Amino acid sequence: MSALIYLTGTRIKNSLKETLHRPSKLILYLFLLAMVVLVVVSGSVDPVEGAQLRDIREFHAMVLGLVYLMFFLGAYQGFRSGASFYSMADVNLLFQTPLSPKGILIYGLVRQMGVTLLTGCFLVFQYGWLHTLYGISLGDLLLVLLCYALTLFCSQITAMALYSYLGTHPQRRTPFKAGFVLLLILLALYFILPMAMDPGNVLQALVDRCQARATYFLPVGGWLLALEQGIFTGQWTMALGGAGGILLLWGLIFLWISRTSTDYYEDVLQATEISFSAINASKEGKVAEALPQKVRLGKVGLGHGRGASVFFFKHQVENRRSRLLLLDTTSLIFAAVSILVSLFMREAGILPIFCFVIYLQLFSVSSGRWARELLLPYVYLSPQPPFVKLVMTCLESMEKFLIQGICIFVPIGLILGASPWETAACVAAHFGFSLLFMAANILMDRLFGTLQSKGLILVLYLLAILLLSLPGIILAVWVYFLLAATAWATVLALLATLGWNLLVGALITLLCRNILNLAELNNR
Amino acid sequence: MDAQCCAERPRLFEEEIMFQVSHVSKRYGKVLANQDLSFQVGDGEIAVLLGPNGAGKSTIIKCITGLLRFQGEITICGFPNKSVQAKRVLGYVPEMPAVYDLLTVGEHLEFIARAYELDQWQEEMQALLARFELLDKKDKLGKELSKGMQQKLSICCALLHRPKVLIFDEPMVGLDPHAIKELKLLFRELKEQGVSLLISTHMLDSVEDYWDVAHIMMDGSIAATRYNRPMEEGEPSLEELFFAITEHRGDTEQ
Repeated sequence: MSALIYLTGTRIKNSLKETLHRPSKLILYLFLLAMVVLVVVSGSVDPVEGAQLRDIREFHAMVLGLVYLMFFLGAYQGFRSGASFYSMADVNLLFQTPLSPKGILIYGLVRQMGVTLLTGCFLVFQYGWLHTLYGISLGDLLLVLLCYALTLFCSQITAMALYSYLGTHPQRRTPFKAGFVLLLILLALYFILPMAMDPGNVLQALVDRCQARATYFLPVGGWLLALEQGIFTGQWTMALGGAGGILLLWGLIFLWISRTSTDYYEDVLQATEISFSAINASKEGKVAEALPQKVRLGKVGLGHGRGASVFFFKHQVENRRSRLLLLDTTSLIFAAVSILVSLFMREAGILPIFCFVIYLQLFSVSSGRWARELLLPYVYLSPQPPFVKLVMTCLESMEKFLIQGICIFVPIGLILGASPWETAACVAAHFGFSLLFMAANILMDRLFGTLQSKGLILVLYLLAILLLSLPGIILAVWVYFLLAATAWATVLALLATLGWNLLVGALITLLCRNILNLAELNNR
Repeated sequence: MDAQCCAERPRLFEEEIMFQVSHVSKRYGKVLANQDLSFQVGDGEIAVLLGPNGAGKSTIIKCITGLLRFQGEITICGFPNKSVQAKRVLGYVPEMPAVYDLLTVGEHLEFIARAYELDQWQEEMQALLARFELLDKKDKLGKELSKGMQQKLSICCALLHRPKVLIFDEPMVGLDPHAIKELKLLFRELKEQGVSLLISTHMLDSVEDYWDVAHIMMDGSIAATRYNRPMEEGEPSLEELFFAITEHRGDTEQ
């Protein structure tokens, strides 16, 4: 065990040393820290006097939604590759040692706890709007962060247990999967039925169901909600009940893994290899694509394109094979989240929802096929002018932005009762912002493509976005207030951002027209 | 040592210069990966870049293929290496196989044919796939191929448009014995057709006797150049020369 303690301690010590020796990493961490402080300080400003806070039960309902989403997404991995708490170095070095496998399992679990806690830091950035709308404190948010980490941990050990069990009983995979899906459907029905029965008051019905007594007894989600809400409201019996449920689950799974599958090394090997290649891809700046495990080949052959245009037609084939319905998995999740949030913000009108969607779009634009194209040599090697190649590789993303906008804003427009013009303006403005974000990504590749620190590039990207979009936003605000008395204020304000963003996006693309001659293949 | 081995380039062939690297330097931050490199490869010539790990072989190859920025000048058939004309006659097989996860083997070659605006390429595709034993994998997706098969596909992609200059970065890694045999045979055939080849490797035995000129790289520079001609008495073999250069550095460091 002392070897494992030594390993853990040395890893922590060395990562701290590395941070101090790499200025870019240090700057990034300091920047993130400063941003957290800024968000917390600026968000802590008490809401305007007289402004009413929203029903806090909505906040707890959102926590429950987050918990179930993360839990089921993670646990489902048990049917695919399992989950792993280990790095490739652990697999290659630690698994060969004569240390007790149970000791190594505990080491993995402890290590995972730390990692999951870190991944939840994004929640801190939600403090501002949560404080304004629900009046929650930083302590409350840290409580949600703890719940988030516990959720991920629960989902991973469940996935590992499932994978381990199904590995030795492959014939039970289908019934287990069917059971998993059935469970999901039942759970969905449990929450959706009250909404269907009270269509005029969907949000209230959903919140009531989330706060029903029976909900707290639902496995994992209900227990974690009980833990969170119990501490939040000082109902300690409720909190202890929730904690008890979670501890029981951990105990049972740990006991089960260590009893029935002492040779769990094989079970985690594939998951470790997959996460290893994902981590490597991420270190190299590659954008991992969530591909279906079994790709439906469909029609074989590209069929169209000559010269640079073949990139567009190749992307069409790749999209057809990777998509769920019209959009890829990430876009579908973003669309679902946006539509769900619009249910909570019905009274606020379409503009706040629009801002939220654009905020999400900031992080999804870089996952376009054009970004992946830059990581393989073909786009650099093919004998066409670089500007034509750039436009052709971006064409697929433009098409995607339009479909995304329609899929997101048509349902939102219907939910909020917005006019068709407002909905159309949102789709158009969303397209404009997406183009600007894509152009900013290209600019980052052009200027900082060779930087090793991807985190630093992200920070610079966010700064560039802020600077590039600000004039458009100011213009939109000016237009909005100028026409405040008319029915067209929202539409024209949105179109003002479209005009500005198109202009800036086109200008950047033009200035970066030689990027494919000047950029460096970023896959070292 | 340099004086002994970097004798003036002999006129082995009455060739024209297919590509030329002149005073190329490449820096990654503070690390100087390539320092003032100059060499040329003629028509129908096979040049090999030898050197230990980290010598800068892959970097100069990426500079030549236009994937990295650099200082200096590189021309391919007289055109700057990043021009459309140069790209049209250049083929490149990277060290790590470059394939698209969601395209089939056949679609990769169709993609190349369309990107290079080729006509009548189907026959060539069939021949390449047959040669590298990929015909039965034609409808397999890139992500379903093993690393070796991906490497074979990369090679087929680089050959389809019949380039005049071909650059291979560690091409034997991951290949099965049949593919290695075919590749060596292919090197000779391409040479006979007048194609210029630059092959980077750190495995001396893989280049055997088919090379015309060998550049031994060390710390980002060319430490020695050896031409394949009858050896004079007392002259070290390529292998001896390689170890004299690469191991000498270790001694001095120790």
